[in-house]
Amino acid sequence: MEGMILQLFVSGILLGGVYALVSIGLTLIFGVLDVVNFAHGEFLMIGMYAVFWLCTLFHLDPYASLLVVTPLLFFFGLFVGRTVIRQTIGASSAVQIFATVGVSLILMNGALVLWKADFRSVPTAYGSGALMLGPVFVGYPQLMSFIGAIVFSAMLFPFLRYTYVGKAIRATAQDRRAATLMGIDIQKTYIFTFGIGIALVGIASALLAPIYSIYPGVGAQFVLVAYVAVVLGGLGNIPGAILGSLLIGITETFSGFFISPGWRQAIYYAVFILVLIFRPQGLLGQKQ
Amino acid sequence: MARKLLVCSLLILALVSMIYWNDAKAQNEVKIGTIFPLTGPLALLGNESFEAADLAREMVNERFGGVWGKKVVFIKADAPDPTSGANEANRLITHEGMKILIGTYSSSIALAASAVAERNKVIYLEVIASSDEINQRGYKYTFRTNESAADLGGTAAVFASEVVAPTLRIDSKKLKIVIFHEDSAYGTSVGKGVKATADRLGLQVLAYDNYKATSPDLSSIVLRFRALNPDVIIATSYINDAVLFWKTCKQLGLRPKALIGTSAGYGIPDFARLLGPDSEGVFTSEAPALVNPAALTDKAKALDKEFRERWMAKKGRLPAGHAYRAFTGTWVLLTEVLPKAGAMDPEKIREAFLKVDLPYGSLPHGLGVKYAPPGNPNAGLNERRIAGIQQWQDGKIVQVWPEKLAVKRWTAIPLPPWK
Amino acid sequence: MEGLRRLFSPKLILKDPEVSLSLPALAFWALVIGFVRNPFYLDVLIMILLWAMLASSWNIAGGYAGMFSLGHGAFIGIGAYMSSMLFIHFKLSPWLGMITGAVVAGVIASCLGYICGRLKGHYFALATIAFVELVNITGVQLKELTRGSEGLSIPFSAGWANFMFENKVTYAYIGLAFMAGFYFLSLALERSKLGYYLVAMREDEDAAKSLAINTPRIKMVSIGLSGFLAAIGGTFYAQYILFIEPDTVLSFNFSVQVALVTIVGGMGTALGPLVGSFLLTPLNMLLRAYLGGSLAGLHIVIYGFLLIIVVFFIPDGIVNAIRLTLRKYLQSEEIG
Repeated sequence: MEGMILQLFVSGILLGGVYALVSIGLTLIFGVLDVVNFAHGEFLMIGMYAVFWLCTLFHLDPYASLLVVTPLLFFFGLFVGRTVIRQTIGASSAVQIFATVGVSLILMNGALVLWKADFRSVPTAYGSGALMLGPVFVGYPQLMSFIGAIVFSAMLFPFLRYTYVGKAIRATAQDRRAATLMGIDIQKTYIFTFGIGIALVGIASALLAPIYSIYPGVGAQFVLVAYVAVVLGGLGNIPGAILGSLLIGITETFSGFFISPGWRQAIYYAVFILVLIFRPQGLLGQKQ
Repeated sequence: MARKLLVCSLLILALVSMIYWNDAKAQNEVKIGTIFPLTGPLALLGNESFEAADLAREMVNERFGGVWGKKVVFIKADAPDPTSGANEANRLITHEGMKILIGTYSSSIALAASAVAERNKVIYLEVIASSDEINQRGYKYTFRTNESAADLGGTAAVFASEVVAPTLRIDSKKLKIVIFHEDSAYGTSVGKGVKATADRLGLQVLAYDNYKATSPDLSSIVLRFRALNPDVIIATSYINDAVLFWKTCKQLGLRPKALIGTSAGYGIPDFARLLGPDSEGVFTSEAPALVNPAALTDKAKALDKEFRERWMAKKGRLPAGHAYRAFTGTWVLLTEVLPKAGAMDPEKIREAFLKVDLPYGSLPHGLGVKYAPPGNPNAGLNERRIAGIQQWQDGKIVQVWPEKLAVKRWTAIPLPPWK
Repeated sequence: MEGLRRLFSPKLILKDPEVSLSLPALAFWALVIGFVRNPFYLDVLIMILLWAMLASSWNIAGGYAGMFSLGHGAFIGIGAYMSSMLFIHFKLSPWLGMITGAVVAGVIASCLGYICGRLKGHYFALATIAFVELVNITGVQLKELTRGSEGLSIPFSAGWANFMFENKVTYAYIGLAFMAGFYFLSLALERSKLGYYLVAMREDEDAAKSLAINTPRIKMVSIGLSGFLAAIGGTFYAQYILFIEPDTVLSFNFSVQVALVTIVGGMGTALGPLVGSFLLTPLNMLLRAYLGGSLAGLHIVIYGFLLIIVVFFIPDGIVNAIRLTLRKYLQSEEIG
């Protein structure tokens, strides 16, 4: 039984790693721009298609394609940020939600029109392989995602702390007005942050492509969980998003095993509502 | 502000008027409405199902010049969910004047659309969806040629009991199975079928679980089953979750002695394509496909040959169970029912349906056709339907059971350890 | 709850142009329904009325009270399921089932309003999404009760007591009656004390609190009323489509649609949901009808573009935009 508990724990953490990859970008966007981006999952989907085409047309390994997809999605994020998102900053919930729902519909169905509904996949040599660490199985692609989540968020820290842009982003997140008074171009900062958030999604798509089939609806399943993780961890707080994701992964896996697979998701939605009520700033967030 | 409003309304008007432009209606055609989910989560198989039905239409037009000397034309509608299914059915019937609707692949869309058809006394032919309820509402105008959820689920359990258990030298009443299914209408109805038959046959059901098909992770289910150590797993999944499940089983060291899937994810070519050699040995309960020609009449053999060739030319691969279902359902309508009916009159077409009497082996995948008459609890359902067992061998789907339809013998009971 | 008692004061109502103009409009549509024979157009009209109802109910919470909910599918679904289950299992007339469902939904909505009332803007929206997902999972898992995802088929047997009719015209009249009812209710709300409190709360919650407005209580009342009405719409949906399943009504997508109709039409106005529905419902149906058959997905891409265009050019909705234009025009008339 101890072996099983350990395995559940490890599997939960690995699942958390998958969620974390998607949540990091979201917490940055939500935290800095205060925009609810319902199209987040669709950007992931676009990234995964990009990985697929790079793999199919140029025989690039998915992990290597990370170097191409990330900047690609960064620029795509800048584009969408400039055209659509910019208009939604500071606007009412209604405008934000519907603008991003519109983007989500366009991306998802645009993908359907262009690439049809077929399931694509990116084969890797180590695709279904697993490592055995003692009594515990650790899937290779899941391990890579987990490591990727840690490594790339770690890389964000020096960026946010030491570069001008990073400081501008943090300043804007902390206090919009003060940042403007300090001479920071808020609009540019917002768009840039959105771009970075989407670039992070690009990283996620390269790491997740070996695990999931790629089809127009693949991103949708991640959006709501990502929001739960982000709120759980604290808005704009990257370690918080990771922590939140890990907690969700672990809870989901344990409840699937002990309670019932059908009710798994209900647990984290319930937790979500409880967190929103009792600790809205999240586990690692500052009290507003 | 007013200018913005004006621009906006002009834009909307432009887009909307693009839609009002209607094709000229040709007179000398037999028009049949089709409702399939061409967008949304079921789009992949919704589109393929339409294509299979459409192929039947094309072939009928070529071979026989259509029906009653007129070409058959499909008026195609997209219904990704039951509400649009009801709306589109209504539109096809009242606005387009359709007297026959073919659809829909999805059980819940079928239930909504056929309800509309029944109230309007219009024929609804289901060609793929499996929910038992479709024919259990006492409807007079709903017909279905393919096997139902109870058949798909039940056949899996029967195979486990009659073939797997003896091959493993285990008493079938001591065979340990787990049943799990994705939680939409499809999975639930088939899962129920498995459980009902498994209970009836006295198999040991250790778990009966469901899960969301879009789950990003199935580790907890795999670990749950690993702890139970079943002999056979009977699964009902769509393609992504089927692939994810099996991959996760490999990663976490779960290897049952047999995995029996039920149609949907387990029966389509993507299963082998996405899993590669790991797909070897997996069974699926499904509408028969690529069956032993000895089980077919000569006409059916020739039809099967042509169907396979044309499908291969169109899709680059051989047809699977769902393609056979849609093709044969439509074929029977166009070549047996409508000619007997003589006119586009739902009452006459109804009677024609009930007159069809084709023995087993008359359809390219081995089925016969005789629709249950009104009064029967499954009125309108084909009584000569079969669900069989196929197995993935060498990346290809092979019919292995029942014997008369089998092309090869089954292998890999028990499944060898993971490579 | 004296706010509710104030809602029904006829004196306030009849002097108002919005009301007095709507009565002839109502008569007009009643005549139209009477003359339209074609079941297809009736179907479109009934769907328009249904969405107008649902959007109106959402408007009470989302528009007037500023509680932007993306989980209204939960209340609509509770209404649909309650009346249907009571009809199928206990042969209770869906009219009575409708009231029962509405009361249950109203109570649950009030609780939600109480629990999540403190949450602002996005957070409240996210909480409602989690809520509808929870209700969805519950609906799917409690198979014995709700038939889970296989859905509930309501056996057709026509009759007033059964709230089922052969003739679409009857459905259309009932829909019109409901929609009119919701519309007048919204108007009455606007002109009642509760309505003024809601405006104050929407504009500046802290200022409203300082004026001794019991914001938690009015939030509860508004969302409770909103849930109550949404459930009524849910029953109408069930009785018309005769098939309900969790993934349709008890879904986030459905909830988004309901909110969308009001936003496009104009949040916080009684006419907004109606205008929104009259525009979006046929648009959606027509887009799918004429483009859905060709390139799969194209009609939704167009719909998405339209959404973005509308939301950017008319963020306050059509009715508010028209009001603003009228006001400017009238003002310039005065000056010039």
